[in-house]
Amino acid sequence: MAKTIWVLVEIEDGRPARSSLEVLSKAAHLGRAEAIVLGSAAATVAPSLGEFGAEKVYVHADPTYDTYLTLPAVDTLSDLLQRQQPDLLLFPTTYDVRDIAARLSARHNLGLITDATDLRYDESERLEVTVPWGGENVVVATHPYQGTGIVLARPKAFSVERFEGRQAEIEQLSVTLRPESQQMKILDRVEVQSEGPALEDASIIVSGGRGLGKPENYRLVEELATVLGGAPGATRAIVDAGWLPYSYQIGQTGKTVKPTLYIACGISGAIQHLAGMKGSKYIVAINKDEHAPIFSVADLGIVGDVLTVLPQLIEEVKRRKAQL
Amino acid sequence: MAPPAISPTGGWIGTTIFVVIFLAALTVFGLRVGQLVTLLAKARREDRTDHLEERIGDFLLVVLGQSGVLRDPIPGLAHFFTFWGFIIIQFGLLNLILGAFNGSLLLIGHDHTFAALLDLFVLFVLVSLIVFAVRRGIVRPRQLSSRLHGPWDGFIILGLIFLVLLTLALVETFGFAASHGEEWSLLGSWFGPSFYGLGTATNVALYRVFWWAHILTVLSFLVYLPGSKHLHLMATPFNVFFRNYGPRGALPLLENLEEREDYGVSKAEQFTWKQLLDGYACTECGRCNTVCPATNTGKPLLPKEIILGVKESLLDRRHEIVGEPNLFQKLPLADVRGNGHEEIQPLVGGVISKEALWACTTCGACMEICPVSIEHVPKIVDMRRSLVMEESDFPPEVTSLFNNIERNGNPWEISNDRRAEWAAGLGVPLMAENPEAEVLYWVGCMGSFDQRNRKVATALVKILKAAGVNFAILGPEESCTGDPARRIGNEYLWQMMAQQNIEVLNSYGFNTAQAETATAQHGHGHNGQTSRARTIITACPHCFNTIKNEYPQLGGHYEVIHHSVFIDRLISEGRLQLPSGFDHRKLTYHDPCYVGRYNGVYDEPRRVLAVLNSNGVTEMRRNRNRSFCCGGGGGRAWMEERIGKRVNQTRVNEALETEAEVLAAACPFCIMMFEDGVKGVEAEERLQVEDIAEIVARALEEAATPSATRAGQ
Amino acid sequence: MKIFVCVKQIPDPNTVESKLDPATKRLVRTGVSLVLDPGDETTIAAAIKLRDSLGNSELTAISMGPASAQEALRRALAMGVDRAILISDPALAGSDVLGTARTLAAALKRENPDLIFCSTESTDGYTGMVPGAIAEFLGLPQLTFAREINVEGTKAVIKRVTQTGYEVVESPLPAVVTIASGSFEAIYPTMKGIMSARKKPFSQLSLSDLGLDPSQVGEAGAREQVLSIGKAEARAAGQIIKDEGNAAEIIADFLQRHQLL
Ligand SMILES: Cc1cc2nc3c(=O)[nH]c(=O)nc-3n(C[C@H](O)[C@H](O)[C@H](O)COP(=O)(O)OP(=O)(O)OC[C@H]3O[C@@H](n4cnc5c(N)ncnc54)[C@H](O)[C@@H]3O)c2cc1C
Ligand code: SF4
Ligand code: SF4
Repeated sequence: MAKTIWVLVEIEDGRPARSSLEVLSKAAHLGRAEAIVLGSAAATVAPSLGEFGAEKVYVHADPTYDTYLTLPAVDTLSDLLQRQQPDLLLFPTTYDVRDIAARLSARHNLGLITDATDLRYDESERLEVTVPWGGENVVVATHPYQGTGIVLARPKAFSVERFEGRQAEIEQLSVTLRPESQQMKILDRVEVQSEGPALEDASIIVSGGRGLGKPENYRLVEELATVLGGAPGATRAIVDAGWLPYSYQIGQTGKTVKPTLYIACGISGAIQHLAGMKGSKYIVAINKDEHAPIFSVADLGIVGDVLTVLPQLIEEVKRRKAQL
Repeated sequence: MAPPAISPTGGWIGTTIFVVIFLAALTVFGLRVGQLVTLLAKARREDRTDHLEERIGDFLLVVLGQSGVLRDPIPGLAHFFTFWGFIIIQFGLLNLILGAFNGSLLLIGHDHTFAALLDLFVLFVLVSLIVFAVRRGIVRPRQLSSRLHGPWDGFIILGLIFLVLLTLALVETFGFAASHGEEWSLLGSWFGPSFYGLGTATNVALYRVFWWAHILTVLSFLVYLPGSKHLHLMATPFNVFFRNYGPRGALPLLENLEEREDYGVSKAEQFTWKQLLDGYACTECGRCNTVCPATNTGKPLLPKEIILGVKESLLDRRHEIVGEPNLFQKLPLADVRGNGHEEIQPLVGGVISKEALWACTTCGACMEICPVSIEHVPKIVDMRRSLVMEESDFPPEVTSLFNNIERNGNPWEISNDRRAEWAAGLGVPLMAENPEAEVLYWVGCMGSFDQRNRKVATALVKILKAAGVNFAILGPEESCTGDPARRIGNEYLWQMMAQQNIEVLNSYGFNTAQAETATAQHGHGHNGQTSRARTIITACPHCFNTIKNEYPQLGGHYEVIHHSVFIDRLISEGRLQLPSGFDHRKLTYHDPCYVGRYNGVYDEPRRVLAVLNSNGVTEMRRNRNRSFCCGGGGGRAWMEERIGKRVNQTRVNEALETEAEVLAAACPFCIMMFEDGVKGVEAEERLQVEDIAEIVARALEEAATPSATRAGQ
Repeated sequence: MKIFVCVKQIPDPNTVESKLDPATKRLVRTGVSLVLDPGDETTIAAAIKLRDSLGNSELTAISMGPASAQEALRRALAMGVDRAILISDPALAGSDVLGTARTLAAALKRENPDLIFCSTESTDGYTGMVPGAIAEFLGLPQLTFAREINVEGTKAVIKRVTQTGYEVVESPLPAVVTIASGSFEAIYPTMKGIMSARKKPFSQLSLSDLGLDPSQVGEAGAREQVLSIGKAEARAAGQIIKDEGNAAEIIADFLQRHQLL
């Protein structure tokens, strides 16, 4: 029997969020995907979800969800869970959804598996969730009981797919939102002007060193960072030389960063630099000197000229991103 | 005792007045000095009576021979004569005072030789005074400006001395004139006869006037002195006598960490009396500022200001320390900002800025040059200790250093299990595998983990193997010695690391204290081989210094030598055959502070390099004990350098001035700083940074394959 | 105010690769150096800052873990926390998110807290689910991903980190607050702190003290089960490749393989 899987779809700039659609597509592959959309823009978003795999969409277009965090959504989902028993709640990992999932799990005693990179049902219809563990291991986990469970999927674990021509049935929910649950009130939303994420928070960092030759070439590092959605960083050598302000410096006496991906461009890898980035999950280094110490920590090292490789890489990343 | 020719007071009434004034002045002087001494008595205790014989010998040399100041010749000579002039003039003064009681110094009172000598000194001193005045008033070296005393203090002192001499000359002149030569003096014999015409009565009157003037000037000087920078005249001899005779590289141990009330110094009175005496003894010559790498590169640190800052803070708070002052004690002891009127500033972060404290590389150049043996570094570290252990206030980049040393046993986020990875494939046994090893090679964190310094470690291994040394390393059993932590002020962490390492070293029988008892018990101490057999060598001067000079504070006594010395020894013993003059590149050598200044090793590395290099060693402008720090000591290698010029680049530029192609170093931190400095001044094409071990190892390869192209050709 | 901070002891994330024991399917806790979660250190710093600015408040650190977790709590005390509670019980071993949250919530409930600080996520487990679950068990609002927190009367106001900036969010007290990593500087303990940590109140609780049934927590109560542990796609030890014109493709392949595009 096909599994019923609920996906909470978030709205970003009036459109379904990409992270939600990734999960929705996966759910549609696993079984019967049902989406839940909440908030003032819910009604406009709902009809488009069929195309991304939803067979059914629960809609509650109420602005309360936009102003009050977590609790109204938990109440609504909880309400829905009283009426129906889906097999799985498959949610994207985002700031808001994490909060909702945690409470829902506690309220209904639902098993909770996070950071999933893959999931499937085996022959005996048991759920198997793949979770990477500490860089070297992967764990396969399940909910060891009958009934609904929650899985949070890692961003970008799945790709967004189109289910051409699929029309989702739309059900308007008629819950009344409890005033007691209107507690965490958003007073203001502030956009902070910045080219990209701050170094400390970035999950991708592209960093440049003296191998770039001259200040103008740092533009290549910035561009690659932008196309990858990461932040640009630097060695002290080029900060000292006045190419960039101190806030870009990574290392012993600069910032310590631990992104998922660190691309070192024209960086020798002096110990003081390594001290600040060695903890990165994946390190890619481009350096023309094959004996450069940076290669000792690199997962992928390219012995080559940054000035040739970087422009090509920027184009290649753009090209592949467009295909995704 | 013979009566003087003329009674200067003219009878008992005058003498009584003199006695009253004299005693009053002496009392004021005594109270003021007494207050200064009380401040010392209230300070922390510290034993400075070890090495008594040496103390006495050195005292004679430095104080009486003025060997300290003579290093800077012109002011030094002036100083020399002023000092001796002063001593001799005191006898003249005594003679004049005795006059009030109708007496005089029998032996010398009527001896023309002494009287002539005295006057010659008066003349010398006058000349010196002119030199001083010119220097102070016209040349105005920057290091002479003072924070505690306005510029007038120097002039008042010079003026008073001048007046003392002038009145003395006049006393002598009119004494000669009044007594028609019976009261003989050299100056009197020159000028006295011209005044015969005034008549004896007038001359006697003038003699008395100038006698009083002289006595009053001297007494004013006495009363003024304790509040002047010339307090050093009195304090210096004591300071020299009580100077540190322990190993210079050892910071004082902070005892009893578990039960202390305070951890370091945040208030002046928490220093030991000797540290405070330093403040009294400072001559404000500013020599320390001229050699300080921090001062020289525009940092807010001037070592002299540290010393005077401590003194200022002490005097600022003197009423709090000593209690309600009496009238005389209220007299200012220095031209101190606070002086009890304004709000008193805290010592650390007020009188002395935190930035100044963090700028110090603990290079020891200031202490090396100070003519009066003042100890700057222990004070700086004491104040850092308070910042770190009491306030948790230090440059943020240091936090990870502390955490990593504590958790991983090395300064980085690297598991210490990987400490021996550098030696993989080199055939280096671990101590655990070769417990009988003749030599323990202490690799240190840099040699173990830093790619650049791993090359040095590898080179040293090559040398040890070539010389057939039976050695081993500790691998994961070795941990950071704690040196950077201690110098940054984290004494707790240093003690933790030291204890851990001492346990490991003792377990392999390296402790010489233990070894002695062991050999005594087992009776096989054959011809001194035992101590030789348990040597620790290291290429890191910081490990070297702390194990050698500081671990004994916690009971770890070891025979530790720096690799440059060990290599020199291997060569002289013929265990290492090196081709002489194989390297033709022009080479200069940098003395690491903790090898040179702190441990007196200057010749061995030069000797090794001179054998290998056909040009010998070209010296930099500042070398040997005047060497200029690379900028990495005192924990500075772990902090950002935000202000002023870079110390490492300054030193690299000095190396470039010699037109050397190789900057030879003997310290992993120097290497790291110089590698970075060479890049910073974009001299990679011109200057190579190499450890002495790397140069020797290359020579060995050369010896093995004579046909290979010679380096630098 | 009564302020609490939930902390955890973990294997030093900087040096040890966390190891799961394939036999017991639990975190290996022997032979590796255990530390107070570095993320918790910054959360403690945030809590201390708030306590000091409020005045007349007490800060208690609370942890669930084996006896060795005492060390982590001592560090918290050394940093300036006033009191510590360790919940330790053999039955707690193998607790999942819900078991952990249920236990902590039970202990917190007895204390009538005004404010409970948590890190957004622990450095080793990074599920980030415990704080929300605690809030739910206690029926309290939760203010998450705070990079700044202020208490105004009976309300807490935070700046909540978002993808593009932040939201200003308020809620009534008592509440659970989670601190975004990197928002506060950890406090390096002073000697006074280290020494006084030995004398500060430290209590230890077991399950029965909390009136919890062992079947609700630990392995017994776990709602997730590890089926197997495998090696991740062997992380090819550093490949070094000479650029022959195709470097961009090689890198892009690498990025794609690791889902980094
Ligand atoms: C106290 C102290 C603190 C320090 N703290 C830090 C710190 O926090 N962070 C930090 O980064 N550094 C720090 N340093 C500096 C550090 O020692 C190094 O000097 C610095 O990291 C070197 O920067 P780099 O790699 O950009 O330059 P280099 O070391 O000069 O490396 C440039 C590299 O680029 C390569 N290259 C050149 N041209 C090309 C090309 N066309 N294509 C590809 N590769 C090329 C070269 O082979 C070389 O490996 C510190 C130094 C000190 C003394
Ligand atoms: S030790 Fe060196 S850096 Fe420190 S004050 Fe003295 S001269 Fe300056
Ligand atoms: S500390 Fe020594 S060198 Fe420095 S000013 Fe004083 S007397 Fe001179």
